[in-house]
Amino acid sequence: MEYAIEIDGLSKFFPRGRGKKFSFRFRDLLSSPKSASELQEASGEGTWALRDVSLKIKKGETLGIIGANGAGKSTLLKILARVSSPTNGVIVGRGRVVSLLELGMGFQADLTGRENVFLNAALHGVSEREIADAFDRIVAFSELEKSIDQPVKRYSTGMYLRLAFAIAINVNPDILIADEVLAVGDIAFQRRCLDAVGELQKRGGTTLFVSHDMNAVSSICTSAIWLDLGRIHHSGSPQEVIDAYERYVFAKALNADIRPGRVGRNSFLSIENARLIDEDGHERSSVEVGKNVHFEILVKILSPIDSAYIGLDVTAVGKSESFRVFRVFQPSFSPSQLGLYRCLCTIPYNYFADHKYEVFVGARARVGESEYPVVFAGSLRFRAYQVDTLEVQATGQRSKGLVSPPADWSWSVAQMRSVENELVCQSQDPECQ
Amino acid sequence: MSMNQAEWTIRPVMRTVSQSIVEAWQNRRLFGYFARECRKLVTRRTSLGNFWLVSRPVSHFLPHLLLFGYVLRFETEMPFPVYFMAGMLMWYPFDQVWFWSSRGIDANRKILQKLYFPRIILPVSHCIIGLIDILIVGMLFIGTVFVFWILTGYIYVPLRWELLWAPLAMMVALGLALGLGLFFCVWAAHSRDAIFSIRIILQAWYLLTPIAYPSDLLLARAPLLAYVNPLFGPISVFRDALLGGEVHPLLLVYPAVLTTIVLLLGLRFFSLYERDTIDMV
Repeated sequence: MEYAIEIDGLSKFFPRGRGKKFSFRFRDLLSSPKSASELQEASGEGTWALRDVSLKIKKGETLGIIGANGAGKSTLLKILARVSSPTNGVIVGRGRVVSLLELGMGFQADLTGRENVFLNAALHGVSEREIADAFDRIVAFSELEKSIDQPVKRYSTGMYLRLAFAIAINVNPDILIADEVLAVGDIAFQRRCLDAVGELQKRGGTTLFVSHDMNAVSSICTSAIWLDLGRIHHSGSPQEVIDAYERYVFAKALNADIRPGRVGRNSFLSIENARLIDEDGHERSSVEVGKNVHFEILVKILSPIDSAYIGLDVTAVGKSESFRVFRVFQPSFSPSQLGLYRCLCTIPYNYFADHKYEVFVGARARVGESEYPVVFAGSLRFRAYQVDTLEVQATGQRSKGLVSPPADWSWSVAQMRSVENELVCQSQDPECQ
Repeated sequence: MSMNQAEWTIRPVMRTVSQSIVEAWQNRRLFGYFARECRKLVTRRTSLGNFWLVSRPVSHFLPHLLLFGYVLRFETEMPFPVYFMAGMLMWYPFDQVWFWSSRGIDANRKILQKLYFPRIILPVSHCIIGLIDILIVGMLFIGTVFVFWILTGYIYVPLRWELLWAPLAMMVALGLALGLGLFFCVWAAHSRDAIFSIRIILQAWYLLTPIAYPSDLLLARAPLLAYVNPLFGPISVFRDALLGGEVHPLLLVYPAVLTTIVLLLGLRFFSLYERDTIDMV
């Protein structure tokens, strides 16, 4: 089996605190070149963006790279595109690499589309003859027949992106490296990009692309890797890797914060719906401060589990940021059979203040020792409002803040002042009068 | 990366000078691209645009012309403006080549982080500003000679074979500027101190080189300063060759050797540090 790219023991170290300072040794100028790693490791503290990554990518493969921000995805692509250099490790590749770390990089706004095609080809290391051959295909792909002789500064974003992508895909790359560029543009454009990658794959071309769009990864990739903290955490078929990744992400999310995710299901249970209802069972988007608040959550049990939990994260929606007010967790519930269950959670009146709230819903299925979390894809937004009661009208005082707990008030005597003191005070201190 | 189906490797070793040069030659079309970008950098966000390309040297020369020619009144064999412009024809491109080639990486940060191309192309293609200045200052020089031809009836630039020393002297000077630019280009990518330093050094260097005052003055009062200065030779040879003086080619030996060393070390320095620099820009 021939490999398009073989990566062996790739590491990348970013030294810290050298951003502004620059040090070099005169003797490097005359002695044999030191490897970058020696120089960098000598510089002390820093971070390893990639740690010992080894990977073999077959010809004709489309590899999706997923992972959280800061996992090293972009660093890996940058090294493959030669923009950045590795600290350790070797990469052996075969064929022409076209890298799209950003679409439209190197376009000159005041030149026409036609001129930019030729300039951009030069930047990608494509010969003039080849680009002349590919020119018609580029124009056709980008659908810019009418405006190819206009300066690109007159182009809309969509036209600009189309032209940039058309150049890259039509110069017959053997290896295409794309960093989230397939995710820009409208749906039609994305569709076309993905189709083009599919065609490239049929011709035997290899594509590596970083994406946060799991649908794109699962639909066009033949394999995927999940990078975490610079290491390959998981590799295999796209669906397998995506499942592992999402399970991990949501498990983490549920432990830290319940936030809406892309899926509200795992193989054990799914959150079908969550809504705010009033006493009569009607869906509401606002509640009175003085009334009980009911949340109704519909959970479908898909396969036998030991128990299920449901959690609600209640956050107050501020002008610029939201923060959690409280979390309530339902004690475990053991479903006797599969099917749809309705879970009702009531928060007593007077807990919510006159404010906007957002509620995130999560659930966990417990099977044996393991827990499988899911997060409801949507969130509940509602407003609690205070009705002007007679009391409020009389005093003009409204509750403020994020919660208005039912407070108990009482008065009693702590210490009495003597009457004589009171009189002395009145005669001497003008303020007492 | 341009060879079809060819095998390539990426390793954590630094480039050698010859690798840099070969790679740059394979991508020579990019020299034009970045030269164009650099020229746009000069006129970017100005409303006068290309006018600045011309008025930059003029506004630089006029005060010096007034101060040295009409306030201090140095004795030169020929009208001071002719003498001064001949010197400036070499100094100003030198100044600009050093300054702009040092900004090669700094001015292209964005594209450097997204695309790979031989980076050595950047400082070299930025020399275009110096070449444009040769044309502009050259025209000003010819104009000055022409004006004094009409005023005095004498042509100060005799046509003779010694004229050929002038381009050679110019090449020695510009080679030195590029060599320095290669060092400062890496430094300037790390901190802006480099750009400030260049301006200060150039200011001092300008005053210590006999451009706006006679060479004899410097030779008589501070000969050591004259012989240490690697621009003294090129400027003397250049001006003598242009203005019909006696040319002393031996003056070029020390500057030429120094230029070669600085240029080679500069290439080496740039090739070594270019890759680690990109991570930090």
